[in-house]
Formats: sequence, C-alpha cells, structure tokens
Amino acid sequence: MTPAFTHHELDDADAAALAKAIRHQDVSASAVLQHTLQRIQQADSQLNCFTGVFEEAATAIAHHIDCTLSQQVRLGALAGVPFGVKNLFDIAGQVTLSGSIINRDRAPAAQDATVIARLKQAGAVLVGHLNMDEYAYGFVTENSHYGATRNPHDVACIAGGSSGGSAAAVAAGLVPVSLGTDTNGSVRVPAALCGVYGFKPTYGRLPRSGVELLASSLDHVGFFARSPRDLAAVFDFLQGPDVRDPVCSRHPPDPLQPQMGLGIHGLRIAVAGGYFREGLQPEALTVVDELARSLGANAQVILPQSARARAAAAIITAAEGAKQHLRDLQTRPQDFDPETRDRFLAGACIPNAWYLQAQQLRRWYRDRVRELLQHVDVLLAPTTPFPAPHVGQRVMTVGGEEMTVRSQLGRFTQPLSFIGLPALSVPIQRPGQLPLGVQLIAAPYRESHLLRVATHLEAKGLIAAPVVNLSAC
Amino acid sequence: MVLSGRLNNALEFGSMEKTPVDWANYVEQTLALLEMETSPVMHSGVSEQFAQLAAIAAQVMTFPLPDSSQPPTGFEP
Repeated sequence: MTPAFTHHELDDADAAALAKAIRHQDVSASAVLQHTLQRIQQADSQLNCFTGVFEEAATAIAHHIDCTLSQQVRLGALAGVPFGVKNLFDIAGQVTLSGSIINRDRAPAAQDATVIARLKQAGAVLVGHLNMDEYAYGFVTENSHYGATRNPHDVACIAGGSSGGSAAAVAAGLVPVSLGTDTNGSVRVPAALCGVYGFKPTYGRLPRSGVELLASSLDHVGFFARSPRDLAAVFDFLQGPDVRDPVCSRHPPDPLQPQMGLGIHGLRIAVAGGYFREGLQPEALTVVDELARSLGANAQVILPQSARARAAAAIITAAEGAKQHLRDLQTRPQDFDPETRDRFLAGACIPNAWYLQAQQLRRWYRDRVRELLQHVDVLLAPTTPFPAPHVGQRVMTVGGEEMTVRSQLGRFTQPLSFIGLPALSVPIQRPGQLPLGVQLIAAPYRESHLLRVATHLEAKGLIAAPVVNLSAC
Repeated sequence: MVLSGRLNNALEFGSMEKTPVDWANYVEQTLALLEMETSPVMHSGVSEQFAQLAAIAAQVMTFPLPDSSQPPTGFEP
C-alpha cells in the first residue's frame, strides 16, 4: 500500500474519492475500514448512530478486496467503500430490529435486502446498522429503546428521523453513504437537519424487498451521501426491477452518472408557492429563495390542496402502519415505544371511509401536480420549517405560534412523497448556525433533473456537505 | 312516515347538525372490537391521538372529490 492518503483526507473523502483511491491502490480497503471503525468507536458514544457494527465480517471483506486488487482483478466501482443501513433493512444472519425490542424475538434474516445486495455487488462494505424511530414512525429518532441519535452539528439537538442514525453517520463522516427509508420525509428531514444530501427517488424506483415496511402505499427506499456524484453512483447501482418486490417499477433504469455534466441549461425551474411558503421560520424560506435566485427561478407554482394532501398522507400512514403491527399491538402493546404505540393504536381505530377518501385524494392530487409538472422540470421547496430542535423539545415557535415539533417537521415533505415524486434534500451550511435543507422536486422518473441541478449548485459553492468537526461540538 | 326532529330539520335545510363524538368511548369500543389488551392509561393516550387524527381526517373528508374518483390501485390480475 502506498500511504498517499492521510487520516485527514480519509475523514473528508466522499465515496467516489475513496473508491478511486482504493482502486488505484493509493490506500487499501483495510486501511479505509480500520479508519472507519476507529472513527465510529470515537464518535458514536456521543452521537448514538449505530445499533450494531460488523467489525469481523467487514474486516474479512476488506481484506478480500485488497487481495483481489493485488492480483490486478477488476472489482466493482464502489469496492472498499464503507456503508451503513437503517436497521429496518434485512441483513443476512442478523435480526431486523426496525427500532423495536419486539423484533428481537424474530429469526435472523435469511438474505440481504435487495438494495444491500446491490451495493455489496458493487464492492461496498457493510459496516453496521443504524438507529431510527421505532418502526420508522417518527421524525426525531428519539427511540425509547435505543436512545436518541444526536446531531453532529450540535449534540444537544436531534438528528431528525426516522432515518436519523443514517443521516448523522454520514454528516459525522462515520460512513460516506448510508441507506434509509422515506414514507413521509424520513430521509429528507434528517438529511436537512444534519446538513447532508438525502435522496428519495420516485415511488417504486428502488427495490423494497427485505425492508420492513411502515405504510406500503407510501414507503420509499432512499439514501444519504455527501456529494452529488455519490448520489448518482449509488442510485445507478440500486435502481432496476426486482422480482421480489411487487411495487418496484418496471420503468427502464435511467443511469444518472452520464448526465451529471449536462448542466441546467434548458431546465425550467420554479419555486413551490402558497402552502410551501407558510408555517416556517424565515430562515427556512430565505435559503430557498437564495437558491432560486442563483438558478434564475422567478416563477412560483401553487400545488393545490397541499395541506389536505399532507393530511391524507397522515391518515394512510396511521391506518396502514397499525395494520402492519396489529398482532403485536394485540398481544404485547407494552413492548412498543409509547410514542409510536399510541399512534398505531389510534390508527387501528380509523374508519374505512377516512382511509379510502385519503387514497382517492391521493389520485386527485397526483393528477393536478402531474399537470403542473408538464410546465416545470424542477421545483424548489423548503425541506423542514426550522433547523434541528433540541432533544426532548416538544414545541417550536413559528411566526409567534407554537407548533408541535414531531408533526411539523414533515410539513413540506409529506405532500410530495404522498404522490411518489422524486425529491432530493440538498444541504445548506450556515456558519455558526445549524444547517437547513432545500428540496429539489421533479416529475416521476426525472431523477436526472434533480442531480443536474444539485451538481450545478455544488459547483457554484451554494450547497455542500463537509464532514462535521466533532471536536468543535 | 314520521321523521325525527333532527333528520326533518336536515332534509328541510339541506344539512344535518353534527353530534359531538365521544372519541374516548369510540376508541375504547373499537380497541375492544379489535381484541386489544390495552390498559386504561393507554386509552387516554390513544384517545388523544385519535382526536388529532379526527381533526386531520376532517380536512380530507370535507374535500369534494368528483364522484368518478377512485383510489389508486396496483393490483393486476
């Protein structure tokens, strides 16, 4: 091994830089892994991102990669890149916790979730599973069984949720890439609060087989990274049909990496108006408008009935989530996190007509937004109404009014996942203050538009996801 | 046919006055129907959550969807 990579460079490298360095044998996969494990050991007692670390298995895989490379054999494009997964993804031989203690009684998974298998095929090295809200039903990752995940920018604050461990681990540089899921905003919200990229592609675009679902009508697989090029690389490995997943789209794969350099010329970009500019702290709107200005996006587009769309998403989530866990709710309600249990039980009581009307509204809203997106390629909207609240904080004041933190964090993400639109939360760093996120939103299967805009914004220095210096916390 | 005062009123004026719903009682009965072994302490929390859901559902239920609208389905025979 040529020691061309310093520890500092390893800390800051994104997945693409690590993969390139390993491939060129500037650094070994084993050295990258040891650095990763060391960093997790140092930081995780403070952050509580990981619920399990697979030191032995990961070390063996990294060693195998190094041996293979030394024989001049070509490996996958992500060979040696460490990654983590929210603990609702099946990992062969591991119990899928899904943030609960109930699941500890289950048998270990027989095989990896499809998306994990695909990253492994690309050579990435799974190092552990990550904390989340119980059964993905929350926006805060304050889990009563496994503790709260802390925000690397300020450990007194939440990381957001439900994929909080996944977001914080990437922000803190513990792994360059992690997987999460997004039903109502569970990738985009923690990405915004932790200052990293959080990508939720079109509903059905990424396979969900081997993922413990919350609400099948709305569940998406998504992921976190620190650069647009990593988003494109990971997306290209994850997309594609999956016979094990009935929801997975048959839409042809659309490789993003070749489109990264196309720029934004010809893209029609606008700002989501009305509902998406209300009920938020001024700075959350300022960051949207600053990006819009830099993109020359002057027009505002109103997505009609977005408040009702959000309401309908909440009804569907509560009803389907309750059904998903009905047997455990019947037999061992005391073993649930109280914050999720009461909401699941309430969801079990939902009358049929509420659920069906919510599903009908979903189609109605989709049709209206689909019409609008014939005239706009990319929409900008805030990701969250405010930056990360403190751990344990129940309310936040917005415009002189008190709002419930747990519900309001999803205000701007829920209407969009409700109709399965691809959305990418891009990170806005604010020196001396907590980061915020801006959502880039496109028509279904137009993920490439989002990545083109993100690449442009990153090149202009307007968005970035540098590793947080934990010693400064 | 004799109509009750409230129904007669509704037919006459085109709207029916709303009877306040006892959510706590509704939740208790529904959980019993679903064979949930819940404690009275849980009932209180669930009733609170359900009252919030009911307020949310009102936004959905009051929206006048066209008669032709159908739920999206993914089922293929």
